[in-house]
Amino acid sequence: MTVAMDGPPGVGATAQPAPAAVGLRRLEPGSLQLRRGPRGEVRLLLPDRCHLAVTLTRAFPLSRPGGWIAIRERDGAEVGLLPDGACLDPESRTCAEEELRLRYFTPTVTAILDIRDEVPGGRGGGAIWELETDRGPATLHMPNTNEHVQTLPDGRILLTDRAGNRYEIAGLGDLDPASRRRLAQFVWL
Amino acid sequence: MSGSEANSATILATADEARPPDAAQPAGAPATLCAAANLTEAGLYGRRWLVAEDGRLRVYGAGGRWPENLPRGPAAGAGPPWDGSHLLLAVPPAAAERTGPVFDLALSEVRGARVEPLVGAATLLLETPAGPVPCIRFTPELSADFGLAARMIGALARGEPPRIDPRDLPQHCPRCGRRLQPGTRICPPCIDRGAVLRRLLGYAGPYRWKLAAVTALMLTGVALSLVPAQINRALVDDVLEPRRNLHLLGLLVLAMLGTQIAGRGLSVVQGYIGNSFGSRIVGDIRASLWGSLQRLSLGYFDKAQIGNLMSRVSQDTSRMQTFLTGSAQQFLVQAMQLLGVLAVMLAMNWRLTLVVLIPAPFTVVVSRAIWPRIRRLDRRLWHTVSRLNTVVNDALGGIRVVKAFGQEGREVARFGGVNGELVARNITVANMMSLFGPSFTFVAGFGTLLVWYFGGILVVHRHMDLGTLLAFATYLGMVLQPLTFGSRLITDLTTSITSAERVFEVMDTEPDVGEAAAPVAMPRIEGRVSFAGVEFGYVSHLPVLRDIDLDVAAGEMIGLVGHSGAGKSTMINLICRLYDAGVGTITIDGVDIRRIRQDDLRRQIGVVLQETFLFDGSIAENIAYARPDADPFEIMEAARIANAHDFILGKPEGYDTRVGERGMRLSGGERQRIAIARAILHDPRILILDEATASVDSETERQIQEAVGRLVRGRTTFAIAHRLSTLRSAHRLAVFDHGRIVEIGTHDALMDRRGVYYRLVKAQQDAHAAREVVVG
Repeated sequence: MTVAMDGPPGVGATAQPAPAAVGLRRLEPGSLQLRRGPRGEVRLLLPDRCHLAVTLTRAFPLSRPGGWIAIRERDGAEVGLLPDGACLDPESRTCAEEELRLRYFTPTVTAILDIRDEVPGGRGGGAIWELETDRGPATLHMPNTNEHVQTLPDGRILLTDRAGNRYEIAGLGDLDPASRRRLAQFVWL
Repeated sequence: MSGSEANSATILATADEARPPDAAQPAGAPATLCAAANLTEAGLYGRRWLVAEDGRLRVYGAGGRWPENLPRGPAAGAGPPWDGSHLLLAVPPAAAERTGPVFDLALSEVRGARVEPLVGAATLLLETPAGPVPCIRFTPELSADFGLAARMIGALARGEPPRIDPRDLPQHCPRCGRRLQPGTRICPPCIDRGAVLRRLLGYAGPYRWKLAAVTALMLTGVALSLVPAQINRALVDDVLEPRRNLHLLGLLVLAMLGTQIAGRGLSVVQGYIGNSFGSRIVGDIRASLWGSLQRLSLGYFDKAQIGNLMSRVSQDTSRMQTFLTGSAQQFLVQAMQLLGVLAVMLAMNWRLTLVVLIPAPFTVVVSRAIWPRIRRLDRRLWHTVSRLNTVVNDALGGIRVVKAFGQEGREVARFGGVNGELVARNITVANMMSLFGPSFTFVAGFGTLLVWYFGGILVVHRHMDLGTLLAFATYLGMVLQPLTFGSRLITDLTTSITSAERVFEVMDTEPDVGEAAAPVAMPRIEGRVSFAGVEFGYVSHLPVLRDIDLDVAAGEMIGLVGHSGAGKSTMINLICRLYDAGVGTITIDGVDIRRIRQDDLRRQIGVVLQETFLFDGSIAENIAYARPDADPFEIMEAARIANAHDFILGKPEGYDTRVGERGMRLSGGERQRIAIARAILHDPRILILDEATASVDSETERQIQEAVGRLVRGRTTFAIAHRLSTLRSAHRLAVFDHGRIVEIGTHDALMDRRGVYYRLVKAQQDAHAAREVVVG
């Protein structure tokens, strides 16, 4: 997965401004800067003021990972919505990418080493997956393959485990044949 | 409290960790806090250790090994109670192994700490005068550990003892020292399967005569099943081949008929006894599981998820039933048959027996390889069917919405999509079965070919009679049958043991909210309630209530006010002792709520909830729910006070009117007044009102308010109302915000303060005004 801001922003939304006075504020990428503070916090510099510690949240993490990023204060108060992260100045963009990469910890699966039944014989549906990911090796315990394997319209496959960890398979084509075969035993592709 | 409090605190030092404590400590004071994390600052998987030592908080990367099982925490029963001076959730890395520190901050600069959940990961944030500072990162399964670490940091920073409920400390398997999953005491590798099986069979105790009968019948049945082949042999060797002894023919055929009748008769009787006995055992188990569930406290149900519990009650017990009535019996029969047949075959011709058994291991191997695949496919198919059901359910349940938005076409397409998928998958599974079934039979049948070949040679050379060969072939079929099913039966055994474990786990769980060892009897509670320093979270690392201090006089009415999610309902749950606060104390008349006899407490606390829950039964039964012995006059009196008497008498069946499932046959206002009548009859000393008036017309609301006014008189009352106007009669209001009480006082005093309450009232007035504009 590219955690970067490569998703298409809301193209249609740019044409029609949101209905006024509901409190959503649209931030123009040209008018803001994101910078790292000394302790690793993210600072938002706007023309009229500065927010010392903000968090970035994707509004559509699956369908538009790079578009519509909500910038909020630590306590949840929303500063505004950024329609497209790709239009930020390079330093802000790097800062945003880093922050999103940390907040959305979704390692990309590079190989599936093994999938085995949690209970010998396969009753109960639980499975243990041994993965190689771009962030290091990982083992996930999946209670069932039905609710925890989600295929997205663009071909990505999202895996979640019992503890709430998330992993992503960028596309079937990126996996070696052995990994694909192991996957096919447990998931309808 | 329970035995888990008798925990050892010196968390270190297990034999297998084998790291002498002094080697783990570098020079200077020993670490007061250590926890292991698994993500680096760059967001990669990697080891990081958070250590508090020498008045500083540091994060090390370490070359040491990741503790395979985080070291032993307080195991039940060992050592002195935890004194709170140390919290070592991991082995501090030895000085030589440390790299870094990658993070270093003086504890004096820290005010507190908390876990901030991210997506797929979490951060420990330190509160400093300069704002929050991210300190260390980890994946969600370590959140509970760092929740504890955060409390410890807060305590170290303030120089106070940590506010940690010892029950939240990590629990370890007393046998192997591995860390247990939160909320369970089962350590999967340590399960004594034999013990589970013995316990399961223990339920057969009351039915042992039936069990003995079934076993005897089985043995007879197996013996009988060996006879027909011998009759066949006699038929061929003594009658057919010599072509004489016609008088024997009739006898032999009659004998065959006899064994047939006896065998089938036996299996019918055996089935009858076996079924009744298996079903009854499981019935007993189910009843005892249900009893255990009702006894458990509410906290358990939050953690366990209702769906999961339902599957334990229904699915796991039915698996056990399948095992006890089906697989177990079949397994015994097959095993005995296998032994019997092998004995007879060896007696007839041991060399040929050995030859024909050559393919047997292959059948076992093949069936072990194939069954899991078929089962997996089958399960995936089942999920597809359930998705189809979901679509149907959705569309039918929401049919009004579908029609209102004119989306029938889309629903048809949605169904078509899932249906098409199901068809394709059905074909895949069916094709797999069509391939596997015959291949399997082929492998299994290979032995028969060997019999015909080698046996044929023996017969032609007159080393063996033709009848013996035929009998052999028949017996061979009987050997293969148990072999092919054998491995599946073993899987069945495994799964039913797993199910049994899950069921027994529930039965063995001690309720968190238990009766004190020497409970204090309080026949009449005055109603003084006080909270001192109470902190509580449904999940220990995410507190919902913090620093709650509140004193309520007997007979006082307190309104609880705040946004939804501010902690009002949680307060109520604590007063009712549906949960126990981990930190701080709640007292009633000066007695700790945990020490009061539960019966006395429950009897004197009454609740009128937002969602009034009526059980299927008559109105009278519902009013008398808490006091089934109430006489009819008392019931009517309570209804009268609740302004319910008149509408009840207006119904053709009066107090005997059935309310329907969840009271569906009554209107909202009627249900509420019945709930009030129920509380009045219950006559509690402490009363909980959760938004007693919802969407009803103004006359009904007036009647309800009047009823509530009568109910409240003379009782300590905690009332939650989302509409602030309904709290006018409250003596004081406690205003909640983000889990804390931020303001307390009378309505007028709070309005004068122009704080949180003032803003809430203003916001509500504006919303109200807006609604009036829209409606008017």
